[in-house]
Amino acid sequence: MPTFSTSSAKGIIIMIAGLFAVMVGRVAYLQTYGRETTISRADRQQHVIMTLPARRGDIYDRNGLIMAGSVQTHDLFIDPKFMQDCFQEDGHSLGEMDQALDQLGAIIGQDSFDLAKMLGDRATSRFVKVAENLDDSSVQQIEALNLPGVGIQANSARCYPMGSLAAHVLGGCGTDGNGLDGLELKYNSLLSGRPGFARETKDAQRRPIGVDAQDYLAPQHGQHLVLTIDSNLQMIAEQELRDEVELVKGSKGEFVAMDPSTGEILALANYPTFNPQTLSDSSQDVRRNSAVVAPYEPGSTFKPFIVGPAFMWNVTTPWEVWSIPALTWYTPYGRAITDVEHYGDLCTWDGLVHSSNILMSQLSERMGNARLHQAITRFGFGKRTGIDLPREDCGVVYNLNKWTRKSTESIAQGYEIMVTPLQLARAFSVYANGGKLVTPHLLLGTVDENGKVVSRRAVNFDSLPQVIDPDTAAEVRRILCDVLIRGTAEGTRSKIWNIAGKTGTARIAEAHGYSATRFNSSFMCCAPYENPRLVVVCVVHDPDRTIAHYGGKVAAPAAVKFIERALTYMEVPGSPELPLPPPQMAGVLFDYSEKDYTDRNFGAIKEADETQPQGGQPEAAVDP
Amino acid sequence: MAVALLELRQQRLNLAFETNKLHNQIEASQGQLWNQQLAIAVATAPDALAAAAKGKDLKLTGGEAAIGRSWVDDPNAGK
Repeated sequence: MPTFSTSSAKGIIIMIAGLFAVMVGRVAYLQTYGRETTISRADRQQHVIMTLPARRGDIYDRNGLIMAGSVQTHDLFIDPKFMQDCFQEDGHSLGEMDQALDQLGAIIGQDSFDLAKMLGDRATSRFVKVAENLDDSSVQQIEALNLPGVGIQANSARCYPMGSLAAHVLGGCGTDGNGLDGLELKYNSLLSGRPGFARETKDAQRRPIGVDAQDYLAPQHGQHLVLTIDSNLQMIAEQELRDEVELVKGSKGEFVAMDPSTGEILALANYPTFNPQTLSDSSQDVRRNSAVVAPYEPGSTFKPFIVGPAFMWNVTTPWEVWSIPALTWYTPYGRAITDVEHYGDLCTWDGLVHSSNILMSQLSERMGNARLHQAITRFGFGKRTGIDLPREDCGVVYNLNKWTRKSTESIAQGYEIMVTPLQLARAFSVYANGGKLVTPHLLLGTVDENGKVVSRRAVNFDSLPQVIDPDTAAEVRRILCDVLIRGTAEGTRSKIWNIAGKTGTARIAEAHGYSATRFNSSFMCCAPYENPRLVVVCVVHDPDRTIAHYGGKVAAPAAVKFIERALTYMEVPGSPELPLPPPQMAGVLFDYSEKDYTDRNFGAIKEADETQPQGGQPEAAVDP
Repeated sequence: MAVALLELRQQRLNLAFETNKLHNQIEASQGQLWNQQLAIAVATAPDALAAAAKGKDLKLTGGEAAIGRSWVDDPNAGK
């Protein structure tokens, strides 16, 4: 017969009361001290926060062709802990897990043993990235396996569909998707956008159930850039530059083509070049955008920037004749200045056309250092042009108080000063557009992800600083047309368009002075003369002297070929007859013949005689 | 009441799941469009076109064919 024991009952009651007290205590703990920990643990179990990467904006040329874009790729990630738990809990064996990893490894092209080892090493981790940049078919195969703890994350990779075209302008991106150089770096924040996030609710199997509206912030995709670059002109520029540098076996070359009335850069090339898709395959030297960051002594291409102000300030006139008694002339303090060829006395017009060092030295002596310095700085030399590219160099123009007596003649011949090809192009635009100093730029506008124009750059031509009066600009431009007809670039004249240009051949500075055998050859020009649509600067460094080294033989042919192809592409009408020099000039010009101007049947563009050695004195023979 | 609430909660979760799935599909399609856009860009890049046209004896407008004449007063211009 059952007996009732009060002591047993007490024990049971105490036990129940104890259990109840523990439960109350636990609840109290969970609601007070342990509340935060508990909630965060539950949140971690039920939710996963995913970062939604913003798509990097594309870069388009001025015609709307994609120069840089982003492709969607897929990354494979695994939650090793969850995967292992699932295989153990569901009554499967770990052998089955290895089998699953075998299948996965076969799809992504990885050894299953390595895969298992990687997951084993990070067994407690909840996120292990296993593969990157998977294609669509691989993704479909992986999804078909329906493995627990295996997920696919969309990502994007930078792609440059034009290959190496405009590589120095675009720059390139690192593996983290951020710009490393060029426009990719300059406009990184615009291109990058802002990533969003999604807080996914998961079920007990950690399968995504959904995302609450308040748990979702859409990524703000980056803006698209529309450039001033014309990829067709860029291709032509790169082709001509490459052909010329290879022909004369130069060490490198730069090419700039811009619209002189707006400052829009239409093409900007360097050679050798690289592919921004595979940055690691190229050296830092090759990736340097020398047209913008590497100044050099320009030599005679600098002379028009002295002659123009000299005309404007009435220091001289185009028809003033200067005494040039011999090939070598001595300055008042005894410095020898040498010309390449002796023409006898020359007027200022011809001094520019034949690039006379002696005439320029005499002119600079007359101008004096103060006005010379003022002339140079008016054209923006010694300052950054303001182009929207990183690390632009401002070149070298010493302060006036650092100039020596020799500076007068050195500067007159384009030495003791350093400029970038871009600065040259900008300065020459002054003559091309009637005297205004433009700001070179590459960004035409920005467009948002939906194709809506966000910003558009407009240039107010009238508000630009006036460097030279329009008459002087037109006068210098007209003089420079003769450079291609009967001057230092004779033989490169175009049959269709009148081109105004200036050559330069500068010795390269070495450790102990200037080299006698190594030169930088350059040519800057604008066309058509009547209403310039293009300003072009071409520089070839250190050409093989046994092939050619003068600017008129090395750089001018490439620049003129570019102009002919570019103006044809731009459908610019051919030029009318070039106006003859003013009547007062006819009597003072060297070897003047009206037929030179009127006869347009002068044959096709004469190529520089590349096979014959080009000896003789350098164009700018400066005592360093 | 509790059952009704649970049912409503379940419906909300289902709806969120479907929305999420649809959203992912849209994003995947958008990604495919981007990829196709880039694939077209690769094929139509100026250098790719130039390489494709090279040696094909095509009568293209511009280029060297136009050099040597002025089309300002060319009676055949535009024909």
